[in-house]
Amino acid sequence: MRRILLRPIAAALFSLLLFPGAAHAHTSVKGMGDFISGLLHPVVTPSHLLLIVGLGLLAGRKAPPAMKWPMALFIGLSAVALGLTTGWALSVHPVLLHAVSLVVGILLATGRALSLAWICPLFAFAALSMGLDSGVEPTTAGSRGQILFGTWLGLMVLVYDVSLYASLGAKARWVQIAWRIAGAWLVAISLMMLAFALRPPGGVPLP
Amino acid sequence: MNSVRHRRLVSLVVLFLVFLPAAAFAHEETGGLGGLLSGFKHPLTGLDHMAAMVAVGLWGAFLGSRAMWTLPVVFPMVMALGGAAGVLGLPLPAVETGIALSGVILGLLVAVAAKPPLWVAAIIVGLFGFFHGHAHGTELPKSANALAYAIGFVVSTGLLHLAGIAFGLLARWPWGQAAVRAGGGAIAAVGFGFLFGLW
Repeated sequence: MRRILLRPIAAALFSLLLFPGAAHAHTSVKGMGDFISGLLHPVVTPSHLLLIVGLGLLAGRKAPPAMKWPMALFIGLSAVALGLTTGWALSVHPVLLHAVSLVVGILLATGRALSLAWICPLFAFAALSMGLDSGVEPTTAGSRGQILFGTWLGLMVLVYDVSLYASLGAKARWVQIAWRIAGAWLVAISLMMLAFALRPPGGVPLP
Repeated sequence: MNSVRHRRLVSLVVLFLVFLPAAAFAHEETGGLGGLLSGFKHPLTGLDHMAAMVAVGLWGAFLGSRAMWTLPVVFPMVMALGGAAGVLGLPLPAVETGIALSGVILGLLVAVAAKPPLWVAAIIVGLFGFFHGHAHGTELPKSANALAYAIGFVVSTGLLHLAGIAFGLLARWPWGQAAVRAGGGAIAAVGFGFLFGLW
């Protein structure tokens, strides 16, 4: 019974993940090289940055060695996802990106201890959704390669850095409270973004 | 001893001033920065919103250490639910009345030093958060960047809570308790003003 229920959910998630269509593609920023432009992409894309900070804070609850599998998943799957944006021109539906942020925010706000069985799928979905959302507009192969490589490094370094610094203060009471408040903020922003993404085309008439 | 108390008081006042949000000025409200500023300004441009959000922090600090962070965690989450309802066009009756009542009720609860169980306080705060969120969602400027707007108003709301918490921490001292309760009374008065259309 549980499997029957899980299959359509998995299929729906998969279809949202491999959503063919216009990616929120990025081009080189004027005055910057392709590599730097890619490296900064996760920083200048607010929806990615929010999710990265959320993931980092979540990971920071555990000691860095305990996070080797989620980090390995993140590194591997973000590379796969970035690769998919070039060969198959796949993108990700924005709903999925915000839904992952929402789940991360809820887990942070509730402050419950999490097992790797929770953290690994979250890191996997986050890596796939951010990677697929970082496609590059058509350009030369060399330029595209540099941008995507920069983006991949940027994603990795940011998640690792935030999680490492978060783990340093993980035991302080006020830090734990600050993370829960940050989680509540992430929930609030993600909920609003989900509403914007699900709003009918043309919006709804205001009262 | 007096010197330590004096230093603590000065620190609290400085903390309050640091977290006191001020209106930002922008020439245009388009794009990412415009959306951010627009969202940031929204809770600050209405005295009814501002009073209620400060009251949440004030009441949280007054209720004790657990409530101090629980209420500012509950409020933005339920507020966003209300915001989502507003964005999706789901109707909510008497939104303005609900917002005005939030100032009245929360202010009075602080003024009478009410200390209900935490879950009751969370439900009261969450209920009013829904009304505030609905107003934010329906009043979103069309030109604003949605994500930047959402970030702006959530951060602004959080800073208003922090301002309330900083003021509420004065309740540790007997004279501070009187000041905090008077602050609650002032917030209730603002709420009454909005409720009866005096502002």
